[in-house]
Amino acid sequence: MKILNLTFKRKVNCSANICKWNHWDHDHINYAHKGIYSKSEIFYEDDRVVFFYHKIKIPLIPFLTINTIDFTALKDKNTILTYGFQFGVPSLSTAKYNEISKDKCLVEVNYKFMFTGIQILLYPLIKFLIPRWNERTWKEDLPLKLRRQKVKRMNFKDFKGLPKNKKDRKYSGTIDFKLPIKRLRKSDNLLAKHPFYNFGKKNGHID
Amino acid sequence: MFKKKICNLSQLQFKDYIKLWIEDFKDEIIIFLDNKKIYVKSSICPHFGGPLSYDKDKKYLFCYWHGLKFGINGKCINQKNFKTCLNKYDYEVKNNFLYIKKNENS
Repeated sequence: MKILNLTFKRKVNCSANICKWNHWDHDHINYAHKGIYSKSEIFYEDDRVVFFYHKIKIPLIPFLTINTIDFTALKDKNTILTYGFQFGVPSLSTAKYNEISKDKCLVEVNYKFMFTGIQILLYPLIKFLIPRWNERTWKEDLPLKLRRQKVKRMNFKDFKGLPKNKKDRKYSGTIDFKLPIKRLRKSDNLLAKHPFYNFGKKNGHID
Repeated sequence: MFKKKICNLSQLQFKDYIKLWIEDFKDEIIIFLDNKKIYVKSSICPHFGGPLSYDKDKKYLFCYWHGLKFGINGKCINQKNFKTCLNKYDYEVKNNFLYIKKNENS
């Protein structure tokens, strides 16, 4: 058995809640990351977890696509975990978003892959690909985070837009992050619901 | 009434659209031509705030964040229950320059 363990740290000029929104905004992946995600289906989601199927194009090897199932969970208020299987190799990515000052955040992403048996042959390939994957998704997400930060500071309301009056286009309070993020019901949505799709009731495990 | 000089009309004719942030309006504006008519709208998608671009061939505005589409009338065309329309701006053309107008209080 061999474990690949890689960590990337970056600072970004937006609040931790904007970063978490971007991470949890499932609908954007097939648009903002359309060069990577060629097909996605969602099986289950609630206010803390989501279970997906993705078809992914491998960075730098675009003719190679792999199927992966991913389970994402909000572990605590600053940490999002994603468990997956790429090339049959179990993986865990841990993203931590910590506010370092107002509207500035430290993003720490750790990837772990566990190789057993013949899978060890894939170790150098995945070690080569992960930094490129991380760099690419970071660059594709950065403009979304910065713009979202800018519009939220102009008192932008989701599904409503900017306030009508210019004088109201200012907001200095806390930027909300509430799960689940309200999803679109577009006729041509690229993130399809699987026929087995379920949406979990809030606190359903308690009642 | 506040007026802001935006661009020369000839600039608009050679581009699919012109997009710019206008601090005086606290909005990002997109200007495009359709059948020789000028349209001036906010290019901030009312869904989550993404950037709208105009597709000249398909004649709609498109948000690359989540794929929402808006017709040139500003109404969403690929989600029926999405009620919010794009903000529109009045304009005038003077000496071949486009000016966008807005009430001081709005």
